[in-house]
Amino acid sequence: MGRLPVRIGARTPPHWVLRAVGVLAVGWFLLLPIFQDRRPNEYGELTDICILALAALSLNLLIGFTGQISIGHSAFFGVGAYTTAILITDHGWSPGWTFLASAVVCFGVGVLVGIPALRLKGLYLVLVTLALAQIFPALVRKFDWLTGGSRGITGLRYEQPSWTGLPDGRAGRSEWLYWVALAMLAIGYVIVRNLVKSRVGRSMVAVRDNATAAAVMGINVAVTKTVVFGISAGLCGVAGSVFALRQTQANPETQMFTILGSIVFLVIMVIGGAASLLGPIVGAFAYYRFDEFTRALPDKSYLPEFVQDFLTGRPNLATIVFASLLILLMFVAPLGLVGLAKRLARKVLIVIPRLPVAVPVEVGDPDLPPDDLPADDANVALN
Amino acid sequence: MARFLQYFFNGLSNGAIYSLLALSLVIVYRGSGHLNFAQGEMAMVSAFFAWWYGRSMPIWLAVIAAAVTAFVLGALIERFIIRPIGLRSPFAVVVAAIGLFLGLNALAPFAWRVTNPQPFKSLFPNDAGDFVRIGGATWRYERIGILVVMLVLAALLFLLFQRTKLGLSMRAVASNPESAPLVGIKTGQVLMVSWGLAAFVGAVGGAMVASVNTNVDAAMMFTIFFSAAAAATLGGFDSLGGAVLSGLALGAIENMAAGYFPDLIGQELRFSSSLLIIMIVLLVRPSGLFGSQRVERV
Repeated sequence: MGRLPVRIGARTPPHWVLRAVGVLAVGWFLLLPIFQDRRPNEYGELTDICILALAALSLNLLIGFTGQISIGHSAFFGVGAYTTAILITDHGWSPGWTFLASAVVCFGVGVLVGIPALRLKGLYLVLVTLALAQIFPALVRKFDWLTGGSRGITGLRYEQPSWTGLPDGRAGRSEWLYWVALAMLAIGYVIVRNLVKSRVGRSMVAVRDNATAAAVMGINVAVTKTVVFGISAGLCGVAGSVFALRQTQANPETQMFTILGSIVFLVIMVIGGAASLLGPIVGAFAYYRFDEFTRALPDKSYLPEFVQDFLTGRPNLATIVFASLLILLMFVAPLGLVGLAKRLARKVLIVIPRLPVAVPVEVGDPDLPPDDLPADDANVALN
Repeated sequence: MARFLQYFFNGLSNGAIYSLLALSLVIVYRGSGHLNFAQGEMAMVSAFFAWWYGRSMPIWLAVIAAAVTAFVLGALIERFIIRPIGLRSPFAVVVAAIGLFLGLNALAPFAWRVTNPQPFKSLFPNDAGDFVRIGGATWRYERIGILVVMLVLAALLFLLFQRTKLGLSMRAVASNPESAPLVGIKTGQVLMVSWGLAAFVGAVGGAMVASVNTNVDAAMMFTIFFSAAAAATLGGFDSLGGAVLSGLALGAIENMAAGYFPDLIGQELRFSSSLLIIMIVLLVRPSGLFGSQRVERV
């Protein structure tokens, strides 16, 4: 073995082995519930993580890859949740089919918002999407004949089908919902991955980096932006549908349907890694565990006495620790956790990309740049 | 007519508060190109400082002292949090600002060990008879006072930007951040001053809100911040005059919409109605009413 970093060529046997190990590791992690018995509330936590990851994934498609900033995704999340809730209670749909309906409805709403958003850039777009986030809960309260007003819609359930062999009652139901959420996340991931790696994905990145130049090169900027807005909204709507089933209700007081929900999605996207495919999933895990960890802090018995004295009568310790961790994380990993992992990995291993044309280049040529696809750069201007 | 004037007067002083906060957002944006999500919470913490200083000194002096404290804190936040993170990634700044927003919101109750709203003395004459009567509508002194404070501060800012050397370098950084250092402007210092100044103006706004509410509370700036951001956007994010005018307009429109259509709009859709108007304006003028249109180079 030579010096670090080790260099291997893309799509050579060692690279395939490395990829296979990666896929197995992720798969094992996600399928862990098969091999272990878990309590219903643990399935609930995992379901929450999948929902957050799917919502952040949809936002990443829009912000990370296309450069359109939205803080209105909580509205799409809410529209998805209400679509599911209304179809189940008023029209007796099976919950599974409502996901499709949510995706279609939210795609439509997303395109409707996306068309006027074409004229706007940066902070002006932020404001319009903020309006969306702000108006949604108010509209839900206003149209109470459809949405149940501020009482909301309750009693939503997704019973486990008998073929799954899951136990009856709450335990089986929460496990079933986890698998549903995981499946939705997997479908969402595949959709986003295929989009990003395709011709459409390259036009998205071109639009993000320089819309004028992209238009000059023959990309239909308007169609790209609008369709991506719609797809992103549709994915977020499905996340909202699963969320409604997880909560067993849809209610306008729910924080995730307000601007706070959008902020959570945005934070998850950035701490995972903007414009990275795995970023939102990593981010959702990290966010959820951070949040859990800081909430558990009020048990302070292990702290020295003078610190305990200092903390008596002071509220909000959990939030302050959470916020400090968030800011600290941006110092350590400004490109998100995935960006940090990539930077560290590059010190150990470099994958040399294979050139698209058959040029006689020796694999392992030290003059070649490291594996850095343009789509992985988070160099989006915010203004 | 009396009813119209009443809604208009009350709306204007709400609007003056939006203008103050919108001014701070615009100052930050012109400096470093960021939307400071934490601006409202910075103002809230400053209002807590004013309340705290106010226990041992006259309230007006306390407000000025709190604004100076805010200036220092704002400059420090720019230097030690925003700038180092901004050099690494623009997305990271957004999350850092959200972190500041959450952290500062939690910090005031944490630092002063208070959970309930704390009483705050009104800055203006506030008795039952303290108003002038114009066309059948009453205009309370405290509401006039807020408007006057905002206009004086905006005028001072205008003088600072147009008539001083510091203002000139701030305008230079705003118009071309790459070339400004080439002509000898210390960009770093200008950015620190911008954030400090924004925090100063925001602190005055926070004190005005505390004075109207006659208390300080951790949640006092939450909705006001979004209205101020809306006003800054409507005015065109880089225009000081735009921020003042659209803040006032927004306050007046909101109040009239809620007043004239209590069933259709009311308090519930009050903010939504103004956002809707702004959306329509932005569709016609994508850079706001007074924002500068930038020519793009490929």
